[in-house]
Parts: sequence; structure tokens; C-alpha cells
Amino acid sequence: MSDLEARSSGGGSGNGPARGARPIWIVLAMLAIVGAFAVLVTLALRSPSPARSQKVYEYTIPPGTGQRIEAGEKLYVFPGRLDVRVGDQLVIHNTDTRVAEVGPYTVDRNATLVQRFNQPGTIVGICSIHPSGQVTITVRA
Amino acid sequence: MAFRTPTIVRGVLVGLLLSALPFACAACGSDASEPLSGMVRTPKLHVGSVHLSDVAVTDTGSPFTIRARPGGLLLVYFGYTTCPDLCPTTMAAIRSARAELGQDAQRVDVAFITVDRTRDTPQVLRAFVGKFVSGAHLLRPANAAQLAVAQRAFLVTANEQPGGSIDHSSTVAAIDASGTVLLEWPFGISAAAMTHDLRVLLKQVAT
Repeated sequence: MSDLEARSSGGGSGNGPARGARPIWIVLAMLAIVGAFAVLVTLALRSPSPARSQKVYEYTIPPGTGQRIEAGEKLYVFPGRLDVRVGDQLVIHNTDTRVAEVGPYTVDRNATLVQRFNQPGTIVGICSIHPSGQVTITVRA
Repeated sequence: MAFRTPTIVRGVLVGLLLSALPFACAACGSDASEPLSGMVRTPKLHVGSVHLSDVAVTDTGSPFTIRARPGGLLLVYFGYTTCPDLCPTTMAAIRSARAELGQDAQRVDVAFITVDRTRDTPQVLRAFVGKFVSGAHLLRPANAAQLAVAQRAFLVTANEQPGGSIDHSSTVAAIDASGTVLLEWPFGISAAAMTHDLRVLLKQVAT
């Protein structure tokens, strides 16, 4: 006889298993609540603070950019200085027919580069698409 | 009464499983949701057709194709041994990241491609890279044209300056067995961030 059958068969008595089985479900419920609480605490500790939403800085280098810069035109496709926060993302789409250099990021023609900033610091480097020829990216905590 | 004890035990077990289930789910999803510190390209670079001479063992070298072993990763860095800052710093970060990986470090090989063929003889390369990584592939292009092919594949540059220093790209590329660049870390990446990314990538390439 299964446990279920045993409980059912005893259901008619005054001290039936309906009352006797209740603590089991209480234990189950308590365990589930404790487990769920522990998960929430774990996730809260693992996740970055939701106080500030993470931003995406997206730039597109249009076709002909390299040629126009070579011809002496001053284009501001990408800022000379970029201030970001940890967790922010930089996305550069290069739709030009030339490779672009933005600091440490060399973006191939017709390609996209994605960089997420996970640590504070300052990145300085050559920028082939800014009139100053240089880019400074400051990543704050 | 005879049935109560096993039922309670079963109930406790079920409760424990219920409690553990969300933990298991959180653990499974952690790597997928955790962001990588390296940069990702679309489309990805393919460098598996680049062949260079590996002078790690002999001065004459043996042919090496830029691909990882199956189920592993190959970290590739372009540098030169007399570099005063970028190269030693980056190689030290690679050393620390591999050390943090423990046993998994065996699945992560390193290739150092010299951009200074003249000064970086096989002996010099072994001495320099050996300070950071043992068993690394020491790749020495046969000539400027061969170096240029490799640089184009990786989208990196190197320009000799007056005085002998070389301005060069300082990214580290993580490559899989097909020769695909999965991720690149710019200069200054912390060893901890690199270790984290490597763990994620190693799961991806596990066979």
C-alpha cells in the first residue's frame, strides 16, 4: 500500500492523518521559503547596484569618413573625450571602407566592435576619426 | 504511524530539492549573464590561416598555425622583448590569469609574436617569454611581409620609432581551435577580469 493510500484509508478516524500530514507541508513550505530567500540574497549580492542604469554609447562611422578626413575635412564622428561608468558599453559600427582606430579599438571595415567597461581607469590612444587624432576614455566607478 | 517517518523524510528531501533548485538555476545562468571584459567583434576575425615559425624549441623553428588545441584556447600577443612597459605588463597579466585558472590553465596556450625580428632572436625570445609563461609558442616571422600578413589578420599595427622603440597594438586575442578570435582584451585589463573571461570561454569551447 502506498503512503497516499495509507493516508486515504485512515481519513475516516477522528485523529486522521490529515492533521498528522500538515507538519510535512509546513516543513516543505518553510524550506521553500528559506531557499527562495537565500536565492534572492545571493542574487542581490552578485548583481551590480541597480541604482544607475547602464548606458550604451553607440557610434556609427559613416561610409566615406576616411576619405573625407584625408581630404582635410574635420569630422566629429567620435568624441575626443568620452566619460563612461563601469558597466557601460561602447558600440562602434564602422560602415566605412577603411579600418578605423579608436584608441585601443581597431574596427574593421563593415564591422562592429563591442566593449563593456568593467573596471575604472583611463584609456588614451590614437583616434583616426577625430580631428585631434587622439581619444581619451575615462571609466569611472 | 508506521507510514509517517518515511513520508516526513521524503517531504524533507523534496523540500531540500525545492530549495536547491533556484540555486542550481542561478548557477547555470551565471556565466551566460555575466558580462565579459574583453571586446567582441561582429563579424569575428578568423586568423586560422596564419602560419608562422615557432622557435620555442629550435632556432630554425617549426611551422605553427594560429589555432588552439581542440577544447582549448590560444592567447596571442604581438610584442617585443625590449618593450619597456606594455609587453612585460601584459605578459604578467597573462601569467597571473593562467595561475588563477588552476588546472584549467593546461587548456590555455600562449603565443608571443615578435614585432622586432631583428633584435628578438630565438634565444632572446625564450629568455623573455619564459619569465612569464612556460611552454609558450614563440613566433618569429621570417620577414616583414610575413609579419604584415599576421598583423592584417589580427588588425594590429607596429611602427618602429626613432631610438628603437616600437609603437604597437597591445591587445591579447583569445582564439579557439578553428582559428576564430573569440575575444580581445585591450591593454590594462586586470588579471582577475581576464581570468573571469577565460573561464567563460573555456566553457564555450569545451568538447
